[in-house]
Amino acid sequence: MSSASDSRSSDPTSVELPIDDDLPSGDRLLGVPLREFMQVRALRGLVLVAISAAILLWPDRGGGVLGILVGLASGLFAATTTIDLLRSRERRRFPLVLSVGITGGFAFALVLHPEESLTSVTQATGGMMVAVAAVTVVLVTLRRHSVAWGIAKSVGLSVGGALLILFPDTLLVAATSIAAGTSAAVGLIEVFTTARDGGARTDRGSAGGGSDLGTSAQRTVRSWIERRPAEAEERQGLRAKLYLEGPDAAVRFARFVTLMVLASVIASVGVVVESTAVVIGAMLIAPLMVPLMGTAYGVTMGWMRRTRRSAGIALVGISTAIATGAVVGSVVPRSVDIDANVEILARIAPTTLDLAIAVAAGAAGAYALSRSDVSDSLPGVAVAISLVPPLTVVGLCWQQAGWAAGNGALLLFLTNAVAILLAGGLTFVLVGAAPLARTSRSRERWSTVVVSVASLGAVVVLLLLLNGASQARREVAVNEVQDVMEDWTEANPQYRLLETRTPADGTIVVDLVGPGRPPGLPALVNDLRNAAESGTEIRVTWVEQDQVTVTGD
Amino acid sequence: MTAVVVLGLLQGLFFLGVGILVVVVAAEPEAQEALEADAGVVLVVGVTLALLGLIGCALAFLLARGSEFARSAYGILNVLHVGGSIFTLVAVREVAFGSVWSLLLAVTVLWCLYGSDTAAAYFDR
Repeated sequence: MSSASDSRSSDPTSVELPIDDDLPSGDRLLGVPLREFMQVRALRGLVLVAISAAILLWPDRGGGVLGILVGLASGLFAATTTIDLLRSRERRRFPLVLSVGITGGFAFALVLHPEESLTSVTQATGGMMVAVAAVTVVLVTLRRHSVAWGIAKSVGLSVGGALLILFPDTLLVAATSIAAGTSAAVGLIEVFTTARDGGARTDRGSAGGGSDLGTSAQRTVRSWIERRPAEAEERQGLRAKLYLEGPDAAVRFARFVTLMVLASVIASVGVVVESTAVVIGAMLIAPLMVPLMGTAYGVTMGWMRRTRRSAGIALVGISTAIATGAVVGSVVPRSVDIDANVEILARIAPTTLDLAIAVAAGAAGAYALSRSDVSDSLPGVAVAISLVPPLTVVGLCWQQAGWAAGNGALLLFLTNAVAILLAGGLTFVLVGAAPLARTSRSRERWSTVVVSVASLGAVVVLLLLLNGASQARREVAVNEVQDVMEDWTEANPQYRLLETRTPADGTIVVDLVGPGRPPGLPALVNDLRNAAESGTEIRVTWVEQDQVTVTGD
Repeated sequence: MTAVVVLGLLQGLFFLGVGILVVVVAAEPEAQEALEADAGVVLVVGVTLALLGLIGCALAFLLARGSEFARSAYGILNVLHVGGSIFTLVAVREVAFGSVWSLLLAVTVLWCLYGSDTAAAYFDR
């Protein structure tokens, strides 16, 4: 096989350029000559990064500026894809050709009517996802798609599309942030791979630009990922860490269950005694992260048997933690107040912020596992991802028939688990632990699993959004109730507002202290009824304060 | 593919007929009143429509013979149709029957041109 330099020397049109090793360090960025960043593809990447950064950092996301920025990014995609299609006949395929029309239409709409179009674009995107889901169902019926993949894809698209159609304004910020973050990553990869390739050519003394705008961003990213396979020994080490295999598999499984029980007992007791330090201790043991990461890695590598086995071990761990929580709840000689225990309250009402933490922690976990030089950070990941405590809270709450609170904690666990599976799997591919060639070979199998997990993720996001919205409504209602009570205590200074509580049953409880039954109760009830949202139950309790005055002899 | 060719031919013939009609009636005061323009402008409109019709018919014939140029031209035209319909639906927020119909038609034509295996085989001949 001839090398690149061999082929160049035989090319009569090539021009030998001087090697730039003696360039001053000020003329290089990360070892790449600065002039290589001036190629067309690198500039396209820079524009993409700039627009994405502006979208992510713009202070007022509801304004027209956001619409214009999204429109510009959309226009950039349409323009570069058009050039790509004009230059390459092979790439003129229906999805890409159609995407030019759609993104071009979006771009004009967003730039010319930014404020009016942003919500419509979100809903239209959702509508298109639902339409693609319908087409997929038809293709499955016509047997042109495999059933498992078709169903998983159509369910995923339907759920995602329905969410965008129903909650366009709520999801707008999340959707644009995810799109902008992805675009920024793609742009950076494009800038540096283009510049580095050009720089390498320059350093080798080759002529030629590399200003091929026809190379799509997708292909650039793919080629970047393909160049990142981890060392074979590291992959073997990762496999040994993640899978309970070999002659000592049974012993390792027994150790896993033992650790799981111990971590669950520690977490349950920590929750009961409301000790954050003890709960963190249970998080650090973190045996459940291994089978979940194993599932994510198995999916990306196309190892279905290992994936099933890891998922099974994870299910055993989940059941163990819930059961241990329930057992501890029934045997501890101390009552657990679901409505007042701070460790429980912190875990029964997850929001999308918890999802953001879990995604970052899942990615960090996969990165730390696949890179031995940063594996010291795994304990930090375990604390951030927090798998065992939510499960023991589920057990503790269900044991006391606190179904809603238990379900809330289960939602937090599902959020963390789905984030580990998706962010972890993606990170394994991005760092090269799962080579793209290997992943591509079993595309249909892993994409079925990924879309199924993503569909579950979409349901989790929906529940988190609903939970977040319900929490926001409750906070507003509590503030209104507090305002009413402050006005009332000003008019009745002999009474003092002790506390406004929000127990897990959805009521708002106001605790008063004063001399007997509060005066003007009908008027107070009327004011509270006007302040609270319809359907919200408010309870006013009062403690009679007696007084004995003693004068010394 | 036959459907796309027939559609293109009908569209071309329609524009050609309307263009010729406008040229014929360009001198009539009623036509100038309807278009709110003088005779010269009406004549230009008619000639333009007739030319567009001729181009449409020519493209349809070329498409029937498997011309890659006609495929690209139709592709660009329908991408513009998709963009225009999306713009109307999203920015003007007008769910008009015309916009939805135009969008569906353009998407169908694009699928006929670039989506099916038979189209690829047809143009690779």
